[in-house]
Amino acid sequence: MMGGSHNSIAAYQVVDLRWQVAPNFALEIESLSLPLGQTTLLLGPSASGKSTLLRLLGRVEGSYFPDASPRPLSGKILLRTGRETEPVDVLALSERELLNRKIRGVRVGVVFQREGLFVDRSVLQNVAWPLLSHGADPSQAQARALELLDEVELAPERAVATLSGGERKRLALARALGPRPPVLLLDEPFTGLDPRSLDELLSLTERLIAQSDGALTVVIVTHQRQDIERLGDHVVILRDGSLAVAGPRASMQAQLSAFIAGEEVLGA
Amino acid sequence: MQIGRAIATFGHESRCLALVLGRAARGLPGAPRGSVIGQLGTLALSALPLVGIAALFAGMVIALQTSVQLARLGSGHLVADVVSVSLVRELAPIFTALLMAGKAGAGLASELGMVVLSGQAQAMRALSIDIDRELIAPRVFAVIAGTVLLTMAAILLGLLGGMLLGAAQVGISPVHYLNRAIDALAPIDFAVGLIKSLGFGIIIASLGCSWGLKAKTDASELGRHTMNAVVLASFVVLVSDHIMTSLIEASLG
Repeated sequence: MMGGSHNSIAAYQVVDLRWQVAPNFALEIESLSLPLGQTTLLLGPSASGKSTLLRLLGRVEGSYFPDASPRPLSGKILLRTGRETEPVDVLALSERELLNRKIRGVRVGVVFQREGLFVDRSVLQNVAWPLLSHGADPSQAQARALELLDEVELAPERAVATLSGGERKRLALARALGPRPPVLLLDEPFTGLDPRSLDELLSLTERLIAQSDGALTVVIVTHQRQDIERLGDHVVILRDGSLAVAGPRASMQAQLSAFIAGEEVLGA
Repeated sequence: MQIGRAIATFGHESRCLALVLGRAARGLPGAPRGSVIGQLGTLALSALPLVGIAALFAGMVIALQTSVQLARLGSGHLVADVVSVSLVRELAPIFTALLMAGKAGAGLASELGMVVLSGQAQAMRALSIDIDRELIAPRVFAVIAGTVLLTMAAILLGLLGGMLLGAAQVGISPVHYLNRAIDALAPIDFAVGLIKSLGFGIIIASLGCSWGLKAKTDASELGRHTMNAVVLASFVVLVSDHIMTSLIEASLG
């Protein structure tokens, strides 16, 4: 497991966050830090708010149109993508600012449980298109896409419709890594796979994290035992929209065991 | 209470339409040219056979109906005048728009709806791919430009249909028919028809995109949103036709 080189610095600092997601559910986190250059497991039972928090971290929580009934959102999410960079409050940025400042994709990569692959494009184009859209030179974009597809062992000319579940996940991972984001958010990325595909994907993720040598901050939302056993330097557990407990993995063994066993997780 | 909710919904829907058009206008200068041309072909020009054949027959039917009525009044020679003016000012724009609402409106709503439903729209946002520039602007432009171009084609083919019917059934020579039609038409008639088709194109494009881009939870919602896009576009085209005609008549005469 990776120990990061920036242990004292937070990639994300959540401060006084409150989001009334639905009339009967609010995400409320007073203070939370996710360490830079490390892998954080974001755990919790169903409807505990972990995917909601992940979407806020990546600012992919909304849809194309603003909500007809706005859901009150307050607090700060400070993002720092490198030791030298100044933190940015991503909650304060508008959709246009997020796009123009290339926060999403370039600084924060996201892989969703439902991959959202571009079905009318080839495997190669799925990885190259985002790079071209950011203004990359076509030959550089293609070279980078081929490099990543080689890494995830996918043939570039294949059609998306012919990919298996595990291959779709690998392509989504390669696509997210294309712009070399220093932060990668994974929302239940390994759900619904057969044991062999799951093992391959976990090995791939471990390898990618190891290759980054602490330059990649990863946040994974999961509730799968295998993910929890093999990944994560830092653990955050949510319950009913609030922070139950968070800390380095070494100090969270009891809570992790309780979580895997389906028992009530007590605070540290 | 329900009236208040209806007003709020109307306000939100209107805002969504304005957002689509505003964002499309902003995205158009940077939109990939290949995509713009491709969408023009897919959404608009592919409707040319449909619109063309419909226009040809519409021109013939109008000529037939009009010739019967005018013959009763002893004014059969005015068929070309009546048919050409009504085609250019009213009929070609409106039936082109209704066909486009069915074809392009449904196409936009279902295609963009699938992009939303399959998670591609969310993935595009997460990758900082400008959805307005890449998806919306080319489609909005294609539908608006396509509606105007198809209306022009419908005018020509409608006139041709009227001319054929006039020659076959009323005994008016094609040359005489064309001369009467050209004499009857003024530039203002074409301006009225094309301004209206521009307005109809904007209505169809904005409603198609707006319903396509709405958040969806399942496939049944995709079907419902597509139907709403077509029904609303057709309805608004018909209602706005009267409003636009009144405004144009008042300002241009």
